[in-house]
Amino acid sequence: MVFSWIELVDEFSKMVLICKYSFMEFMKSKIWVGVFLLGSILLLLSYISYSFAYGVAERIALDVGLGLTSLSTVFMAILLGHALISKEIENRTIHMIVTRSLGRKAFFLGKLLGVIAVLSINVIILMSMSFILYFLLGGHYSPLMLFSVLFSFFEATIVLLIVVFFSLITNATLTIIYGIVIYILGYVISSTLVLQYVEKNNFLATVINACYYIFPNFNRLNLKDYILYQKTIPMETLMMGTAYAFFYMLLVIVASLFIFENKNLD
Amino acid sequence: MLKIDSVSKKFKTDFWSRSFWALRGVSFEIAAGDVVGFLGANGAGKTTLIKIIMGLIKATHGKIYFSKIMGVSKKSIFSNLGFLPERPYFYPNLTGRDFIAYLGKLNNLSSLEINQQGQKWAQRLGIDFALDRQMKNYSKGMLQRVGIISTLLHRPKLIILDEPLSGLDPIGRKEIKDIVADVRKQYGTTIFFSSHIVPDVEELCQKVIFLEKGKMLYSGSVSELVSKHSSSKYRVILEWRGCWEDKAIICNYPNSFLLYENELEKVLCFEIAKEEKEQFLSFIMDKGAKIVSFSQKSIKLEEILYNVNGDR
Repeated sequence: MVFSWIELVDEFSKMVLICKYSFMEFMKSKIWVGVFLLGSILLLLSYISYSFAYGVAERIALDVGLGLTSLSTVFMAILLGHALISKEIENRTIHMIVTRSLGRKAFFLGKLLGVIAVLSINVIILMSMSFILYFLLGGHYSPLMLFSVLFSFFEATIVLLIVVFFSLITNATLTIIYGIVIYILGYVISSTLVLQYVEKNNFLATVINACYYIFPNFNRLNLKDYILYQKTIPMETLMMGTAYAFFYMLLVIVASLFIFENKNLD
Repeated sequence: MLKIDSVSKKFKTDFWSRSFWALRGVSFEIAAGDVVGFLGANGAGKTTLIKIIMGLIKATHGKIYFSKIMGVSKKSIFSNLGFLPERPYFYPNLTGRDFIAYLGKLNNLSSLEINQQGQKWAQRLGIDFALDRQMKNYSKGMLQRVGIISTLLHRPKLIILDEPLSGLDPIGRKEIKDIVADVRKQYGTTIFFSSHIVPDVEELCQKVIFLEKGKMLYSGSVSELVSKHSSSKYRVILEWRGCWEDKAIICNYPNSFLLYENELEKVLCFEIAKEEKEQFLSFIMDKGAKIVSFSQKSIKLEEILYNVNGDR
């Protein structure tokens, strides 16, 4: 038992090490130039929408800002996720690392944590830019804003994990396509279920219902309307949203780990 | 140290294509302290077998055994292993020093050990001046050197190198060959390295394993193989200033073969079978010929391996 605890601690410390160096690799890359450029475009577009809006213009600026932030972080997640493991295999860098005294799980989780850390900073930067503009234009603070940052991060992380999962079983192009398709499905499936045409067709309803449970439901993580229209949201819903995100992430991680453990790294 | 037992590997490139065997029942053993060359043309299956040894891919049949000196658990075995894949590309935004530290820490080395060992090998390989540069600015040879450092850093008991000399300039090749020889001499490390360049293997290895189209054609000592193939013929160069009748008799000596003749310098070169050499030498000396040189016909490992391949 003591031995296995030592092993576990050793694996954990190696996972942290891999996470640290993956993060370092991203930090030293030009990714941040891209993030700040994206942020600046986002600010500009939000300001333009504010200038052309009538009435509650600052809310429209926030609406545009949050929407674009969500899209850009998902785009970033797809970009980072599709090459995270596949590029390591292609360049044979992984051969030098997984042949050291560490398990494949530690490597995989370390790489994931490293890129999730990058993604979280990306979400914080872009979201902060949107909120700063909103406050400058006269908007008011709402505690939901913090949750919206968190949920936006969850959404991007789920997309990232799905993309990493597909990158283990298919090529880069298909991975990106699947990532985009699942992101779209994550928003439209729940709306599709209430269509009359679907409700009348039992077979279709069953299929879409099955998809509803398989694919992520990003509507659960979308707080934009609550912030914009200053609606109240029960704490329970927020907690359920958080639990849902964690459960879904865990499920995809476990599936990915299983594949990665048994994958031929050639 | 390492035993490969009837390893076979079947590949299928895609769903519709027919599968093919990349390795067929390969078996051999590597003893502690040996430097073993793993030869074969491109596509022979060398890298596939190395990947199976390193646990990167699974064998269709057969097993890999490591001796107890290497450790009992997978983790302890791998902590005693040093592996350099063929033409690796490392993280472009990290510096050489960062990468060496990263791999050193994965092998549970302290920062002090990493610095000392890293600096020692970096100086030896002439890359110390570039360790603080990002690796995206490194040449192929520099990347290979960083790879070699991170392979040697933790003083492994067994080193597996996949084509370590490919893509290197002559100076780089010599440096790495010298290091392989030194590591073996100083630490008694077992080294197994693949190459398709036979003279490199001949220079460094005591043992050789030759693979062709996934099948093992030879496994054993280099000197045995060379002596087995080079012992049959001797070459005699003689100076002849006698009459032409005697020269005709010498030229017609049974089981001898005139390779060339230099009319100006009055030199003749013969090839003679091993069992005839004594009689031939006394015969030509009786006829008054002066022996310029007498040597066993040397044969290169490369020629032998081509013959082994051709015989099949």
